Amino acid sequence: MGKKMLTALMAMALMLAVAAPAMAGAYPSKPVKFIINFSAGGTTDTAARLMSSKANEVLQQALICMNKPGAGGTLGVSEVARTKGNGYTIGTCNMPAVAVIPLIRPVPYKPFKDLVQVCAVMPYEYALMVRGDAPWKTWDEFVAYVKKNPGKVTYGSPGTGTTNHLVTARIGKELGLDWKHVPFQGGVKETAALLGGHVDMINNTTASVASSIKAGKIRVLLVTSEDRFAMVPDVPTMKEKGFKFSQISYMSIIAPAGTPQVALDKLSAAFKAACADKGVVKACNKLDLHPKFIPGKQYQALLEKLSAEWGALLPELGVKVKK
Amino acid sequence: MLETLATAASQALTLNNFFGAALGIFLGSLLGAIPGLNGTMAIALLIPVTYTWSPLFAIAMLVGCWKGSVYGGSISAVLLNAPGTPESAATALDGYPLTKQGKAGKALKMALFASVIGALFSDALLMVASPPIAAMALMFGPAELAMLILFALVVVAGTGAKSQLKGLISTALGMLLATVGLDPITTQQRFTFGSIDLDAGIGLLAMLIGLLVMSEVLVQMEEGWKDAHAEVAVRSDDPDASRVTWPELKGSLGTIFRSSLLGSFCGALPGVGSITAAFMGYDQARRLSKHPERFGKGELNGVAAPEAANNAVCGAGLIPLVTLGIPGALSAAVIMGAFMIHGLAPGPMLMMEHPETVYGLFMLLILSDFFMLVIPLPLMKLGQWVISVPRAYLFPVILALCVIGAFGTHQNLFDVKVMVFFGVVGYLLKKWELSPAALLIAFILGPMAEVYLRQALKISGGDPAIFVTKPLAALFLALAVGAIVWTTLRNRRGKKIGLAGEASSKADISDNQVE
Repeated sequence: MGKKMLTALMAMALMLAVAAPAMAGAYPSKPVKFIINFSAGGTTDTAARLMSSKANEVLQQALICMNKPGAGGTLGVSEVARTKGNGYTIGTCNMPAVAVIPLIRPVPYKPFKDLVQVCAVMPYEYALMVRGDAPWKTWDEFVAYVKKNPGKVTYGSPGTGTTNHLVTARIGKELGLDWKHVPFQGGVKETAALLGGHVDMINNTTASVASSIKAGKIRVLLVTSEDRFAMVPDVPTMKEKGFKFSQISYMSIIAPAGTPQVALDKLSAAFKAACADKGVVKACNKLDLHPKFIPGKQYQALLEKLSAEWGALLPELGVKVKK
Repeated sequence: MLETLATAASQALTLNNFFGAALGIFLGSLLGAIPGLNGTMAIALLIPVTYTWSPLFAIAMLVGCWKGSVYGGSISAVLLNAPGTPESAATALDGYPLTKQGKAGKALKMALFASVIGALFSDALLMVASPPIAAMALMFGPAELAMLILFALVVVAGTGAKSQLKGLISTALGMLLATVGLDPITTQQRFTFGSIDLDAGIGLLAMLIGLLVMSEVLVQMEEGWKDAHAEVAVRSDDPDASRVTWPELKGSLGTIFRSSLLGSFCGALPGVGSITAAFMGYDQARRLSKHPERFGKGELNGVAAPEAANNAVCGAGLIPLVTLGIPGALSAAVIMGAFMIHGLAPGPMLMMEHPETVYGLFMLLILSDFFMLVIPLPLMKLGQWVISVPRAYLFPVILALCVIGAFGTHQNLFDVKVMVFFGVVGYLLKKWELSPAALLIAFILGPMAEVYLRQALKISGGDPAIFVTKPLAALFLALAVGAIVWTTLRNRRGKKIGLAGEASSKADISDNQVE
């Protein structure tokens, strides 16, 4: 038995010795681990897998997709943060996981020191929506109703500290609305509660409920992203309604700090190609997802700005902050 | 309409798709039957390779895999007392005692028949009654769900324990463990002791593999000191021991139909799930039985009930997915990903924009139910051979599979630690006759009760009247109170009847200890 073990160990050592020089070649010389910070079957997962199929071609190496969901996306992000920055581990990231959640509770990474934003690849598109048979046809009618019935109206979000929650709470605060926030466990349960009439309004991604919007089961009242949506071209954005902020969160690609610049450039180029690829765009559009590339440095600056902006507001919005 | 059906049939009923469904069922049953591995894992592993295939082929295979694994779990639950999937935890309660009596074949076939009937029942509902059922499911908001879960907790708490008190201890422990992780409303950390891995709570699958499978390995190891080369089960030459007779099946049909109905109900409600369904199915069978005292000792109905219920979840779980774009179960959520990657956005428009795909899927579902009647048969034979392997060879392999299963779900070593920890906990629970199954179901139901209760109170602004002013919530609250009163009265009457029953049940307990 002991002899067999020894032989096996020696064989392994030999293999490593042979493999090591191969790794030193041009990046990427082996498959890249791609950690998706939401569960299989969701919007982020679908978009990531669609894009990785094109990025594979550009990198000439496989991106190996793995899901590491949980705790608002922070588990997947910390998995990336704790690996070595050699270019062979990257992941997906959402805005709150780096810009908001670290202010609310301890996370095992420093969002702007342990991580590099490779690039942003797709904006999440958000809106405020009500049931299709609700009496309010426009945002103004809805606001008038909430003002006339203080304390009666409820709105849902996919969870405390999500951009959905924070943006809606801030809207309420600026307009002086007396309404109640109900956090759900993710967008699916939030949508079910709206359709069943258990909450009056929700803030959710439009892609996840596109089918219900087209069927008239859900009505969009206000676009909280920066630009109007082709799906509901007549619905105004919150900027148009006079608000000075929007709900901005991208799906971005992250790598651990210390990743060589060559690797970052190659990865960024690969995802840029994926975002522009006709096949990827067409597949995404079918699901009402719209890839849009933003260089890493630019997105990182935006994140830092958003983090400062929302961080200052958290206590006013009723969210407990980390001491 | 007829034209759509014809198109659907021509797209769906191809040899390719048959092969996909059959392969899915085979893989699912196999992974489900192997203790430690499970169907959700199988589906998640399959998804990336399905991207390049046609949507119907991919989805038929995934759904087949789901159904197969739900049945497959019962094979190891019955034969080894080590449920291969969480759904089959309730099946082990009576299935394993049957194996010990040499009736493994009978238990497995009953599980198969019940599974197929349950699956057919819920697929039929999916085909003909999706819109009204989806509308019913939506009526369950936080307040209604809170009371439904409360009712479920009341009826299934303590399942599988030797005494009510011990059952309640397990239940309390399960609920306590479920509070670890992020607070569902404020997202603050709770009992995580600074460990980021615990932020998402204790991993259900890792805990389950430890609690149900590894603990059994430890129990068998201990018994193995005495005779490592002994087989797990006795063999019986009686042909009736390995088949289900017509009167037996007929006698269970009532139970199977009630369980199918319960399972479909649980499946249609987003997030209630198949584990709850299985336990509630088991409970209704025991409560309505003329011989409740036989449950836990090898009652055939105790195998039929949870299996019909957990398989009935699959078809019904697709109802909210197909009609509303809301997945009713974890596996349904993964299958939703397969819909999306093929450009089919689940929701109300799916039926309008792609009716041929939806009807094609329905046809393949019904067909796969019939496949399920034959495909797992060789596995059953293989399983029965496996339990004739001496323990000293069998259980180390299972232990290795536990580690693989715990690691494989999230490729995270922390999950393996959780698994080992709960393996030891499960062993101790079994030693003390506290039911690991009761802990498990409380662990699943506890956090649901908490979340829905707190959400409902958020909606009402803190006013508990919401639980009685909403009719459905009030109904389930009344049912929960009724169940407590009923149990208390029955226990009192039991005591009055005399000590004869007590004495015999005590004798049974000591019998079990001798085994």
